[in-house]
Amino acid sequence: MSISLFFTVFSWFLGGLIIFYSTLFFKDKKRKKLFFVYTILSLLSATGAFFTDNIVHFLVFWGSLLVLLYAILGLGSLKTASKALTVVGLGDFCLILGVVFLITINKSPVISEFTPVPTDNFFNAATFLLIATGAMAKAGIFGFHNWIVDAAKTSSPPAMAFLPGCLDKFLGIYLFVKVCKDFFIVNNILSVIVMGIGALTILLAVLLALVQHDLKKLLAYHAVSQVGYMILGIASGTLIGIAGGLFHMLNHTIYKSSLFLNAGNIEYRTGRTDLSALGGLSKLMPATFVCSLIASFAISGIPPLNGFVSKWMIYQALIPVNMNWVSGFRITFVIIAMFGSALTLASFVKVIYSAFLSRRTKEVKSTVKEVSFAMLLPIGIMSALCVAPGVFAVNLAIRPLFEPMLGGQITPLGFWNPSIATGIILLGIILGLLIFWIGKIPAKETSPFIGGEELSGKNRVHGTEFYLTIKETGQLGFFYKMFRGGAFDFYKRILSISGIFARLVYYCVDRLINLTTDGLGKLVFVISAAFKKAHTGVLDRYVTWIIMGLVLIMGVLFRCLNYMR
Amino acid sequence: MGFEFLFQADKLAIFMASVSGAVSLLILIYSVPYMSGYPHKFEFFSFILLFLASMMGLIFSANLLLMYIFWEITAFCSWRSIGFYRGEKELWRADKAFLVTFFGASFMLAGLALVYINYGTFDFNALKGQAAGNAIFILIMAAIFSKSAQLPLSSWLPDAGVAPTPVTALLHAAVLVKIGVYAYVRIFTDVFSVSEEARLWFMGIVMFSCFVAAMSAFFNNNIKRILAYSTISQLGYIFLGFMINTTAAISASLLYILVHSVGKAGLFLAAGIVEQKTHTKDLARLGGLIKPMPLVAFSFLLCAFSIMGLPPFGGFFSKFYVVLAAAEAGYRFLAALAILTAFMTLLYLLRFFNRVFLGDIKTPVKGRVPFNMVFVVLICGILSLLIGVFVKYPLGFTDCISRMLVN
Repeated sequence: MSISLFFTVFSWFLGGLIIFYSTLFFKDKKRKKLFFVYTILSLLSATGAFFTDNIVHFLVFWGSLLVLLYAILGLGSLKTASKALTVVGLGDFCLILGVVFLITINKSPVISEFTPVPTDNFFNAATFLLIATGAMAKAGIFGFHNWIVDAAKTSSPPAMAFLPGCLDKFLGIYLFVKVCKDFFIVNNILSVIVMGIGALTILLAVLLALVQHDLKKLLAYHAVSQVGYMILGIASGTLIGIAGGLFHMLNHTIYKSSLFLNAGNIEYRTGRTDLSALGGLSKLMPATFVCSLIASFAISGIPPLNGFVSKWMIYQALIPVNMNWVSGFRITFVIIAMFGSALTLASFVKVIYSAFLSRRTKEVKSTVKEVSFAMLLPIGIMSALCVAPGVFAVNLAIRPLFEPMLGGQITPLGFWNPSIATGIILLGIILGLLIFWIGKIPAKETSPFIGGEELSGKNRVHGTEFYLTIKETGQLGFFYKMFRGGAFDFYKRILSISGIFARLVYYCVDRLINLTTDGLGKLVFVISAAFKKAHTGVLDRYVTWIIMGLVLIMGVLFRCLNYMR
Repeated sequence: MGFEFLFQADKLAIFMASVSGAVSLLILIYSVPYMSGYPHKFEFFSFILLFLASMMGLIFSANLLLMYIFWEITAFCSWRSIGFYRGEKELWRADKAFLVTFFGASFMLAGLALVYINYGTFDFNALKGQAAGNAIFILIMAAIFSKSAQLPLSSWLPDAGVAPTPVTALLHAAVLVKIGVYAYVRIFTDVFSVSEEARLWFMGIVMFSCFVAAMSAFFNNNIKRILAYSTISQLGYIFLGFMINTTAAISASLLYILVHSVGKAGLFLAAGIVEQKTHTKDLARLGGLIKPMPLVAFSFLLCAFSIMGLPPFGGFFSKFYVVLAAAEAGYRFLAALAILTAFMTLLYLLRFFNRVFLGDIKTPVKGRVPFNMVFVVLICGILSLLIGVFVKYPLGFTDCISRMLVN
């Protein structure tokens, strides 16, 4: 299976599931129709981008997706859509410039005629960075992420699952793989820079996810954070890293779509997505609960689910084989990535607890019931896909999918064999159940005694309070303060910096020239006013002017004639 | 000798005439309901038609002198139509436009004298293939820059926004500023050849003016001034392409003329509807107009996407190929500056759209928008998209022209 086919098949598959879900989700007919049209057009453009062999056509498809992104987000709020257009547009213009340079380097726009360009001089390195920026901006790295979080508030969950959750990742990572593997020979410095961006994305986004109170916003931050893993893996440059990055992208799109659609289920039934208002949904919506649990474990990288396998591959790719100055960086990145995974798990514990396991709040009515089977179907398929490729990673995904695609043997996955491990874990669970069944430990529920008072909602432990202490600790406190101050709002930064420059240029150049022009124009009127005085309407005066003029012209003519002779 | 009253039609002239003719037609359709309320609208229509006629004369004229004569007739027409409203401010702005363009044109006259002294003819066919000296180039470029509003002769164009909207649309999209561009292609691409060094200097100027204008557009709060700066900025790309002087670049710039005419006409006409229905041009006092006029907002967005240069709209292809040609000719810095400016274009057009059409309604809309006007704006928007989707056809034509010009 070629890399284009791989991307196409999976984007249509997941896109199809999401579209199927959305037909049931939207209650507004007109919006449903428009969403349907835009998503199909997006998938078609994406297919074009995956398959075209001409990089100009690739840009056309790629850019069309930007316009479609604007359209899809515009269904929710045009303000957010224009934010997305600005931020992603910046990435796209970087990409266009990079592609222009790449074409001049290769002297051809045909992708199959490209030869990998060494990044040894400044120009080539800049070209690489420009294209990589375009790719990463599309995938939604930290810095280019704000619109995703905003869109989580204004757009519907299917739209979120479709775009930042699924299609943007497919495209961004597709280009990123091409850039790192086919277009350039990435040198160590650039590789460390890009991996650093990846590691930073993992860490910062997950830290911000940790303190979110809204389910959709939390998921959006995780959608940003997970990109970091893919970039880490692919930028490592090893075969297993690229395979790991691609596999992680696939896994991410599966579990992230599933999570967004689960959030959609919750919103569909309760109308809320703020975690502090949710609670006790495990009993009311059991299927959604199970699917959320699976997807949450998958995103946190818990074995034996798919997220674990791909993350494991990425860690392996990063662990240095021979020691040089890069290896220190690589080890740091592995540590950051693992730490990020732990924080991801922590934030999903919060989600699972506050939405599903905690006591039911008064915002959630007891009449809330599970969504229809048809709506659960796509989520169920996604959950199954979280489990199967995790358990049978080697035989189901890596051997048949990635090895022929990347053209090389991917060395065995270290000391981790998922199938065996799953067997052991299952054995453990069965043993545990057996012990439980044999021991018959009586489980008793007692209500806590609090001095004879009635338990009210106030005493309830909110999941949203889990990590409040983090906010206050030392350096992290500073980080969160910066976040609240809007330091990471790239969109605002772009606007304010451009605003300052625009004011500078406007006054220093444009107004200056305008002033000069106006001054000269006024001068013309002053001069003409002086000449007006000469026109008195008296005949003698005019005759005098005529004779004076004649003398002047004759004089000049004689001078000229003399000169020419 | 080149003093004859002689016209010629080649592919370039036909392309230019059909583009500006078609866009002018759209604008005239729009202007019928727009101008219906003014008592001296007769003056408006007569000057506009004279304007178009002299534009056509300029396009088809076969010698430099004839071109100059039509050139000055357009200056006269633009002077009268900018000062249509007869206020103190309007008259001064009209005078300014006339003075600046005439200032440039007087240099052109000196340039023409030099041409006659050096080559003894004004006839294009006789002059073809001659190398123009730097003096001739600079003198005629002064006229072209004043007409096409490039720095440092640009400041009259934003000020000309006091004219009725159909006039501004016509000035920006179809006729006046395009005259300068056309004169450049005709004189310095088709007829004379210019040294690369001289072209390089002017490339620097146009890209600087392109960037400065985009910045100024981002800072301005008057809807018509924003669009006027946008025109100055976009013309920079067109000039850049022509000055690079390769087949691909010329073809891209010709496509740019088409795309910009359609897109900018749409933007101006949409802004005209906004101005007429709310009686304000101030961004701070506008907002939420997507509710009362959704079709206008939609068409504005289509045209804006095209001018920003987003695929698959027409603007992308023209801009991309100009930038590509710049990079291929070795002007990497100019290519980077062009892309930066393109991003600024995105910023200021989005700002325009967000402020005017989104948010809360600040100034209520008076009256219904006549169907003709919305229809024309919609046509411009859809054409912007269609040019991009079916870019093969216009590009085929412009390729053909540019091959003719380069050989």
